[in-house]
Amino acid sequence: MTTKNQDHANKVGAMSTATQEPYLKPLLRTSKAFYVSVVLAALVLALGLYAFYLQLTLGHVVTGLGIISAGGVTYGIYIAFAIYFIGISFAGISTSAAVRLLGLEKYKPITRMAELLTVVALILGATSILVDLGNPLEAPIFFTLYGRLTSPFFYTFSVVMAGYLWASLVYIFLSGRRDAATVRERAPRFKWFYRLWSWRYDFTSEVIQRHEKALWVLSLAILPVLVMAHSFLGYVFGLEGGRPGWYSAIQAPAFVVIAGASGISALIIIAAIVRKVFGFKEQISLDVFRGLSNFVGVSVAAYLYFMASEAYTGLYAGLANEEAVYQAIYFGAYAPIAWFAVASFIAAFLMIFAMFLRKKYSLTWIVVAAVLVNLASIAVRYIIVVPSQTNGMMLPWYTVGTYSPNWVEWSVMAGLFALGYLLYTAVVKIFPIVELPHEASAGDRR
Amino acid sequence: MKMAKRLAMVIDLARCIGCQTCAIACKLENNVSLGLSWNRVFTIGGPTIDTPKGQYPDLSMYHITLACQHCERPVCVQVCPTGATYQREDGLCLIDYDRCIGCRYCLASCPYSTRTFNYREPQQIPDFPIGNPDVQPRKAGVVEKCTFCVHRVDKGILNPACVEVCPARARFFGDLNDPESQVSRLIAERNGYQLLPEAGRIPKVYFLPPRRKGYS
Amino acid sequence: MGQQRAQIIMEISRRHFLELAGAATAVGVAASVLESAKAAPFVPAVLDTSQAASPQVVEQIFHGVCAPNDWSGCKLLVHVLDGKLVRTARGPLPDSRYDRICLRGLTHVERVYHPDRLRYPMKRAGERGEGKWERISWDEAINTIATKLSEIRDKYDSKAVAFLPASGYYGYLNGSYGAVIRFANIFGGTYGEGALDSATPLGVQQVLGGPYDGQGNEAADLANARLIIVWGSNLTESNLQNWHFVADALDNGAKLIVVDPNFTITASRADLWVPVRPGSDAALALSMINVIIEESLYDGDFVASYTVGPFLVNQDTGLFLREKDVKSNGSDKYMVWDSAAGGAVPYDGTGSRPVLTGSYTIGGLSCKPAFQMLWDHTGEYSPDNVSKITDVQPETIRMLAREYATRKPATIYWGFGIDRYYYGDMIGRAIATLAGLTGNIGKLGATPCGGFGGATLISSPVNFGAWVTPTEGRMSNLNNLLLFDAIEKGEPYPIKAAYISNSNYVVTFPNQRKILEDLFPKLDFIAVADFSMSDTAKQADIVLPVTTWFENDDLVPSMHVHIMLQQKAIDPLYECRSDLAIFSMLAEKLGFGEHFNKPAEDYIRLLLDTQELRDRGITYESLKKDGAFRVPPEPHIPFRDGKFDTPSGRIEFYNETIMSRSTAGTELEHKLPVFLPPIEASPDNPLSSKYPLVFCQPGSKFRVHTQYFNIPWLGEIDPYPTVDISPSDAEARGIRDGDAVEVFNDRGSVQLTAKVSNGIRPGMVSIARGWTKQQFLAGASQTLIADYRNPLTLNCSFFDTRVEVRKV
Repeated sequence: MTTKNQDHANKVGAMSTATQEPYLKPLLRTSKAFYVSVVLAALVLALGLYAFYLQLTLGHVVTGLGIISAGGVTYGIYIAFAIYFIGISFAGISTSAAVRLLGLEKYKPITRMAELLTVVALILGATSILVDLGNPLEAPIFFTLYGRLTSPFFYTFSVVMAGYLWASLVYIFLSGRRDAATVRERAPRFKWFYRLWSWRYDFTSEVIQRHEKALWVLSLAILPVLVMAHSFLGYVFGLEGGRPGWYSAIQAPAFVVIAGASGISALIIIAAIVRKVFGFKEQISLDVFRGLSNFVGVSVAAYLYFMASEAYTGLYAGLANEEAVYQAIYFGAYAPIAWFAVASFIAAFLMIFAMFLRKKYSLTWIVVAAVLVNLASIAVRYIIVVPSQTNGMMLPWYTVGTYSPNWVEWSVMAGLFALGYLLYTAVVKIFPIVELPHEASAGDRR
Repeated sequence: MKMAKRLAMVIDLARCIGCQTCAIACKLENNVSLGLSWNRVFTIGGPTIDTPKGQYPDLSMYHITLACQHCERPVCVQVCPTGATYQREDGLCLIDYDRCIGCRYCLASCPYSTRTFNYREPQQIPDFPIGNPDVQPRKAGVVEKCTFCVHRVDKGILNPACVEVCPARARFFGDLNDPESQVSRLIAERNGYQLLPEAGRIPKVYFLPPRRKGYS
Repeated sequence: MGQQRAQIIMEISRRHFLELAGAATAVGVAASVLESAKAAPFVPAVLDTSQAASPQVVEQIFHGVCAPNDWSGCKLLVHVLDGKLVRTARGPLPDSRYDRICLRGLTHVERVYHPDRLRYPMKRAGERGEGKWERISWDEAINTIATKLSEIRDKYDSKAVAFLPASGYYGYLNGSYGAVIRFANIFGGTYGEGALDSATPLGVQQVLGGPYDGQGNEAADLANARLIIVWGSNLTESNLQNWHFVADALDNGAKLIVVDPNFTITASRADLWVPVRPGSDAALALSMINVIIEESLYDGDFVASYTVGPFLVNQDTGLFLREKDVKSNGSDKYMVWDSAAGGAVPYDGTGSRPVLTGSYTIGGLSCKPAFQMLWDHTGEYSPDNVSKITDVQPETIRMLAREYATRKPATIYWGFGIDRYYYGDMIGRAIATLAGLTGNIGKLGATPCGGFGGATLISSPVNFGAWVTPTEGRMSNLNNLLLFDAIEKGEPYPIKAAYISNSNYVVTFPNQRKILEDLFPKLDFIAVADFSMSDTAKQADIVLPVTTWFENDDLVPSMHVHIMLQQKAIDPLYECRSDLAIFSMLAEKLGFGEHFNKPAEDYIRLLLDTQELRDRGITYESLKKDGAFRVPPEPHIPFRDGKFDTPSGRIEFYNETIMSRSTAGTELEHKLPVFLPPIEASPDNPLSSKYPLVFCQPGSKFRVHTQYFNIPWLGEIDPYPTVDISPSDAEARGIRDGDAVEVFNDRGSVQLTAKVSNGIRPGMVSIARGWTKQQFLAGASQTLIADYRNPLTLNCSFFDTRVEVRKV
């Protein structure tokens, strides 16, 4: 490198300590409360691991799952949460890609949070599926060697998720190198990690430009992957002609929309927490939340439309068994869950719409709406997965089934949430979760 | 796909008396674990087993048995992520237990709900393997179902166990590709029908309708 | 099939060779006889040497029989791998129409290796029925039993020891007609017999003659019928092995009529279901007779030629008119009226057809042909009258009668549903009469007793006498109902000990409370031999663990036309011994061991040692190849020659003398069949206000009486006892399907789960047989039933019972 470039690089890279300080706060200071939360999460994770161990050694008989033809349910909360997790993974790349492609600079501070959410959510989603399998230890090998492309189960839970995850990791890697390079001297620990990450990153404009270009192309490429990912997840259910309630062309688009609503809502919640805990009031402006909540509002409205259309069609003209499923969902055993979801969606939408009309946004209400949307999303996943198995028999001689998840299943799910918390906070403690502001240099693309 | 053979089963509901012998024969032959069932008898009548519908004395009841339909266009084969479920040239839909990862997608997809899953290690009395020693044993975590007694078909003993034992002589097995086979003739002569034809799976288990009773 | 046969021949001839080699040594003989009376394990005679030769799995296949009760006797192929039973399969018979197996016969692996099997002899270590046991050795068990039997013999009489088998197994060696009779004959004990399923057969015998249950065409003949009336039988559950014959008939255009108060699976297959009031069957049959006669649908030629119809009856004495009654030095020949001659003539089979009707005075004696008497007698049984008794529409009764008389050949397939009422004999007489009137007997497709003809259990060419009576026959037979009095009151003589094998006595017989509280306490000693801890075994002083059928050699008759070989396929499990081995040990102790010191094979050879079988080339060797032989030539159609084993040689729908199993009062001696209201089930019974529901206890396809009660595969489908009740009766009592309820009357009670079924007749409830006390929520169904004694029939009338049901 020439001296001139070196100077420039140094100048660009040598951000003032004062500027960096707030962004490095998570790395530098750890509260006692945090340690307590980690211990608690570890305990919950241990419980989840124990429950999983029981399941591994004794078989799925320890769960509340059963056989459909014997009045049980074979896809329960493992699968419901799996698709919920994969759903909220929408948040990451979509945000980053939109920001990059549409030049929505104000959202830049939350893009890394979003990307991390995607990665963690996909990991949890994949784990959730693995936990559900009868033979989880050999599954990854068989998927690789024998995977069949006619199976939505295969291509969604492997190709799509792997591709999505891999693309997200590459995206994080590329977009994070700059910050890695910036903080590598200041970071209190794991210096080798930042050095490795930012190896050969020297703040020259060519390097920056190369990265920006790559990220732009990746953003463009990732959008169809995003749509594919959630659509295919929908096809896992939508292509099932033999399962009334699942079989519907609407599953694919609906899954994309709910992914958007729940993913961005999850992002809202995380961003709000990060903002509060680490004092990022300036860095993450309220305007960011306004934009995110508007998106949530629109996607919730769209999803309500999908729900209504599905229910109306099923109840009006569904074949006997299909109507039975919707009857059970809205007027039968699942009515409390279904109407809770609908009410929560409507409430969330109204909250956001009210704020929109009054042009006055309150972070509290936005977060409340986001929480409602997430709870409703979980409920909605449950009523997508379960009622079709208890009430959706095509042959008329079966009796209605029942399902009650037991402590093993809840423990495993709790363990997964704990794992997600631990993974997420681990990264937050290691790497600046909010992108450091970088001075404009000649080569930056804006 | 044009198959070399289309092995099919015909069940005469005019003769079936719901005696459950076929259900038990299958359990024995294939050493099916306690708690699992490949072949089941349903009562078409009242809400519980062997009860009729209607009001005394205007009552009616008949029985039907259900196991894997060995469809020509099987959903299970389509949706299996690892290809553990596959279809053979002679029309049998089978499972390679060594490749099954227990995702149960096939179980959830089957319109007839005829598949079952080993939620734990197979259990039976006595504690040593029973049944036909040619049957492949299963383990916890894999899906299983009726195989049309592939081990007997492959040995040239054509009839599956359930067909062999039926005390009512109500079950038949053979090749639909042969128009002179008993199954082909029975279907043609007695208006054999399939279950859920609208699902488009082209099942290969046919039923002969229950008797038209009464004095007319 | 050829492959299988070859394998059997291979294995069996190899086995035979080794057996001969083994039997050549004295030790071998002793060992095989007493089946290791010492602790040394039995050396198996069969060795699968092919295992060493190749790594391929080779099963050994043995001949076997599934014979849990007289009704079936299905031929099995018993597959053994590494000395363990791995499956039982349907086996081939010489007459392959009788090849069959049912759901229960497929569960023997679970039965043989059931964890609850009795493993060693035990003696009671508390009060009877308390359930406390102490393990003892065979020596001690046999010594105890022998000592006790000797004591009782010395103190009272050898008759005071009762041997009480039922229908658990019918192998000639180990079954109810086996070594137990040989032993009882030498010891001089009492054999509890009958009182089960024997009222309707008595009625049939009254009319047609012949042995018990011996009047029917063989089961395969059902396929030849154009009409089958199933009466009081749910054959699709209790004789499901016969169904395919009925299905064949239906496929050929035959009609099926089912007479049953409840809508069973059999009824669901019928062209016409006649929902008759329970216990009123005789009235229905008599009404059919009335219609057939009134509408001239009877076969006049047949009645004239083969029944007592034309025989003149002296109206004063009620006896048939004989030649000697009207002519001095006349013969015993029956008199008929010859219209051509214008007078009564002795009947000798020649001449014109004798008249069936009219009223005549011969030699001052007022006489009528028996047929006229039947006509007069059934006048009160017109469809309109009977409709109220039977709750069947008059038009249905007429249709039933017309069909039976015109759609020929017609078979009546009756079952013990009609037998289990106090007057169960009457329906038997009426059914046999119907056959006689219409000529539906002695022909292909026509019999009044469809489903169980040609039974080798009833009529067998084996050397039974030599087997069961090696010396003099000192056994006393006593009807099982009369036996209650012998135990309780010492009448006609005291019974002080019971040896129970092949029986679940306390569940088989009625009035369980009486058995447990009044009878058993009076017995000084009770020994029970069984392979599971049945409700009866729980009451024993000594319990002996018996081998299952697959652990012994035996020769087995059945209710179809074959006698079959049971081969020892596996070694006895645990310390179990066969019934033959047990009697052998007892005989040894009691001093007549010389009659029980041969191996099972020798006794089988003894049984097969008759001229008839020798002529047919049937030997133990040939049986080891073929597995079975058919006894009666095909087709087995009794009475084809028109000869009946009655005093007159004809169908006696009119009887001079009434067969009776004890001294009955003359009021029970009806010369023509009548309808008598059931003693308890009748709606006119005063109990009907307190106990409005009539009880029945049908057989179930999941059990055979009380066998198979604990088989897991069967329990997956039929997990717990239920009382089937109609929706109207359930609703009136606030009972919903699945509720816990109590069924009770003055005699006892049982608690179990309610099953609401549209098929149950309002006013009836039904609890399937075979559950063990532990499986009920409380109580036992056998406590509900009375031990009524009809002195004529001396038959248990299980269904003549009234109960009430309430929610608990």
